[in-house]
Amino acid sequence: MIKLTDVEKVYRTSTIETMALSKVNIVINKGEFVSIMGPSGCGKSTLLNIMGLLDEPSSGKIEIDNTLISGYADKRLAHMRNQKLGFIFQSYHLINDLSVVDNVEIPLLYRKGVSGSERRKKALEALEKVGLNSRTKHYPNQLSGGQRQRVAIARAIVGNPEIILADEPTGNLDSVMGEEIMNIMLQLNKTEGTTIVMVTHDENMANKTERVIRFFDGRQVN
Amino acid sequence: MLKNYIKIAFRVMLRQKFFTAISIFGISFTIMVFSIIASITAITFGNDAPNINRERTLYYRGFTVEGDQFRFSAPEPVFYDQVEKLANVETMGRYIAGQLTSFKNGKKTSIDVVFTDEKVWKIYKHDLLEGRTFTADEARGAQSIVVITESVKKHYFGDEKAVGQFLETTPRLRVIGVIKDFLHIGGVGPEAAQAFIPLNRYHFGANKNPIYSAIIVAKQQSDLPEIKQSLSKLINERYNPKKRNVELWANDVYERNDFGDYLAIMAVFIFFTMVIPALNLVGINIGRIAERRSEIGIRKAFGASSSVLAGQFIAESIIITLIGGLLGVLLTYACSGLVITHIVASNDDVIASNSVLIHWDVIMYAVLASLFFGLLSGAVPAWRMSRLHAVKALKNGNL
Ligand SMILES: Nc1ncnc2c1ncn2[C@@H]1O[C@H](COP(=O)(O)OP(=O)(O)O)[C@@H](O)[C@H]1O
Ligand SMILES: [Mg+2]
Repeated sequence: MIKLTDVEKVYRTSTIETMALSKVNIVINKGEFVSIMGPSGCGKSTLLNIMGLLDEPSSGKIEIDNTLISGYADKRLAHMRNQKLGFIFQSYHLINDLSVVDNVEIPLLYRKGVSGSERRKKALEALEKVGLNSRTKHYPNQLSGGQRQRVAIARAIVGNPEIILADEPTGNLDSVMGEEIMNIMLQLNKTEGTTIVMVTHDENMANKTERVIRFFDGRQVN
Repeated sequence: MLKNYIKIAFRVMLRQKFFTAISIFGISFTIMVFSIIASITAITFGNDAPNINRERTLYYRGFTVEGDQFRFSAPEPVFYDQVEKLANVETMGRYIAGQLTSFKNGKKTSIDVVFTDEKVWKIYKHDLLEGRTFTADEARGAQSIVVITESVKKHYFGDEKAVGQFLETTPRLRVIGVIKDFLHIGGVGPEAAQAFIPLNRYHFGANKNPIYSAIIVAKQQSDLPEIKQSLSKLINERYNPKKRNVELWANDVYERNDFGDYLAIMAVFIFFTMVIPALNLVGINIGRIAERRSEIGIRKAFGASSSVLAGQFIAESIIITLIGGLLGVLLTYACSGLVITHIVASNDDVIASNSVLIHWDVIMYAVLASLFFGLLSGAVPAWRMSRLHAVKALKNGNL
């Protein structure tokens, strides 16, 4: 599903050069639930951003669905993200000016030929899947952290992407809420067969996934 | 998509209430100020009807000779006949301005009148609503007839036909025509009159030896200085044997209305009205960039391309600008009435002018200009913001 070959990422500032990723080779198979672990600053987010086509590697190859992503223009990358990928972030990243259901609709806004009513219907379905159908008209700041993250999951799945990339999705939540979020993702992986790559600091969470990839200082260590 | 743009535009506007208010107020206020200034300028200096010849017109009222016992002298009619024959004079009208008082239902009304000749109908362009204007023979023949403006007609005769009826003044005047109200700021004689009476009718009043003034229309605007020289020359020949200094009372529209002062006042006014929108634009753009980074990151992550995002932000600024523009038109409409009653219609307190100070073409340009600047102020930050890297946007904009 996702294949990284010799991916490197170097951040250059005027004073220093940081090797965030060096010679990373990873294959994520269709339907897998993989977690990525490692200390802070070891390059986990960088890796996820590259997999999510939000950032470009300094060198190396990325293939998604057997398609080599190389030299794609902004429009084409945006289209690819919209069709294939869903993101979940540690700090939720909801738009506070939009209601819950409007937030969930966002990915469908950038999809051609989806009518307003269809958008609404799909957003409500996604919210039902995460158990938030009673809060659709609320605004993000009226919700708890766990509820916000459930909205974020609904947004990530509303367009039925094949891949979900989650960067420390339970990092801001207490263990009970974190557990809830984890269960939703496990359920999603099991019933819908969605491929999930999750960055986490929590061994308990990682142990629930099929495979753990460990990172240290920009390198894969297992 | 558009519905979504409008939705978020309104949410953003509500969130930044203060800046939104200033922004909309700034745009609408600017439109209003510019529209009214443009209208006032046109009324004071422009060549709009009825003042179609204003730029090449000289108002001549007489002269003073230094050391003379009488400070001010107006020449005899024969002098004017000479002026009229000057090579670069196209037309010359004669007038005496005055006021007539009348009583209606026991209430006193005074109207600004002008005793004038038939040239006035050529020099100025009036819309005739009823009847006709007077002829050269009638002007010379001192007939007791009058052409009135529509608000004078309304005041005396209501909705009835006015032609054939009489103004109960001394002397009694028969109405032969009604012309449309016209706007003026200050202005002398025919420029500000509410009723036009044949020139020689004046001789039948108290003053047996009237002093009249002349409206001299040059063939071209550039002839005006030469005409003034000719006037001085004629005066020196006729009235100034001792060759003393002569001051000529002949002014074109810019001299009569102190164009320099006017420009200075308007410049100060415009400066202050521009400071508000300028300040606010800066504020809004800073606020937007700071507060909406994460939104940009989010939308990009879920499939918005840079161009789609730029479109969204531009749509937002168009919406705000359009609201300001529409409000500006309403504001102009509302305030022009105030301006008319307090600045423009100086005729009197009883008969107010019905005309409207709105120049729709000016307003249209003002709205177009505000749209243009709204777009510009929206497009530049939108373009910059939309190019923000998704990862950076998400990193810096923790929600
Ligand atoms: N935009 C950037 N510019 C410079 N250095 C960066 C940038 N983003 C990340 N880094 C550096 O790259 C390394 C990996 O960062 P990151 O992928 O965020 O780590 P993690 O998610 O594992 O905590 C860190 O040393 C970080 O300081
Ligand atoms: Mg990280």
